[in-house]
Amino acid sequence: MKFFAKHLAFASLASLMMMGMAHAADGVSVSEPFARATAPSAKAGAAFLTLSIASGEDKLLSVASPVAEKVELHNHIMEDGIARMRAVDAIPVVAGTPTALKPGGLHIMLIGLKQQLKEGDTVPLTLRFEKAGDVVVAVPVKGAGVRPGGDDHSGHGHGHSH
Amino acid sequence: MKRPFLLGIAALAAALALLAGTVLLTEQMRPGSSTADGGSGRADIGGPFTLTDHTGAPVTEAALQGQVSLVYFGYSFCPDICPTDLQVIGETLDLVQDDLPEAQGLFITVDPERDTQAQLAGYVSLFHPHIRGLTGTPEQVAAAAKVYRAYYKKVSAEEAGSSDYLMDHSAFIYLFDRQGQFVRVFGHGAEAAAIAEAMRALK
Repeated sequence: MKFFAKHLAFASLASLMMMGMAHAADGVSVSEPFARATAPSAKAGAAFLTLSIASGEDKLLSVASPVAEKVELHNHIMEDGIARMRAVDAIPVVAGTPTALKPGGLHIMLIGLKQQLKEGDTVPLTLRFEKAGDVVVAVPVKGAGVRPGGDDHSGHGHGHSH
Repeated sequence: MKRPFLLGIAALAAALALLAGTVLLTEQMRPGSSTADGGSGRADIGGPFTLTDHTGAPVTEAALQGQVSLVYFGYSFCPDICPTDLQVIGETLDLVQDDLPEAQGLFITVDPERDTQAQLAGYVSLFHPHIRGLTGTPEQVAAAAKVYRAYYKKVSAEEAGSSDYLMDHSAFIYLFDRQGQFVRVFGHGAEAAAIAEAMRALK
């Protein structure tokens, strides 16, 4: 029962974060989560967020989501104009320096999507940290090419109406 | 004994070709070399290709005739680089809408195995109605990439550490004028406003 309570606490913590209260007293904070909308038959999608920690350090070990068969941590490296995407084992979080997972770099890769990610939907992710354990985050789906920090010119809703 | 040796030579040649292509592109990406003087002997990017668009229509280099075009090589499985660049292309097409209403984007997949016509149809429509998704046989795609000096390489799931294979690929936005002549290239991270300005100069 205690175990369950702990997870409940994490879940409510996550929902607090979703409301912009991205500061946890003693653990990892997750802010600005978003996923990109995908094509109807897309096999892969991506989610992005920023991780920070008030003190000490932690490590994002893995992520799970009911919307994908597999979730991996990936990095994109641009070398001489060539994009090379590779999986990474874990993503460290250190106090003082937020770790931004953003387009063009570290990202959460959703592989084997079970559903289309539609703009306006919310996708649950369970982030597993080495110390903080599981943190559940509700990730809003934004435009297909959206970049961090806003709705990315929401006037550009080219989506399905065309 | 002979085969590994030949393979080694081939790998070396491929690496040199890539290096040469990269140097060339880097050179052309310098601000000073961005003059839109089409036909100035920089015609060695672009050329004949035969592909199929996301509606099933055949597409050749003739599609570049008559309107200003942005050409991009990528793949829809790519979650962050390609959507960002396609978003930029879509924003650029919006910015030039009044001046160049016929301007188009061509998204050429480097992953024909996964990027079928149907897959591309759902994908490109996320970004802009004037972006066409092009695919073809692996040979057709390879031929197109060659004339554009685009680089791509399949990376096995094992090598990438992933559960599926990934593609390394050059992320360049190529600008072509109304005559289908190569003008210049923009790298990943280019701003829509800058590309739009270069496009308007070709009005």
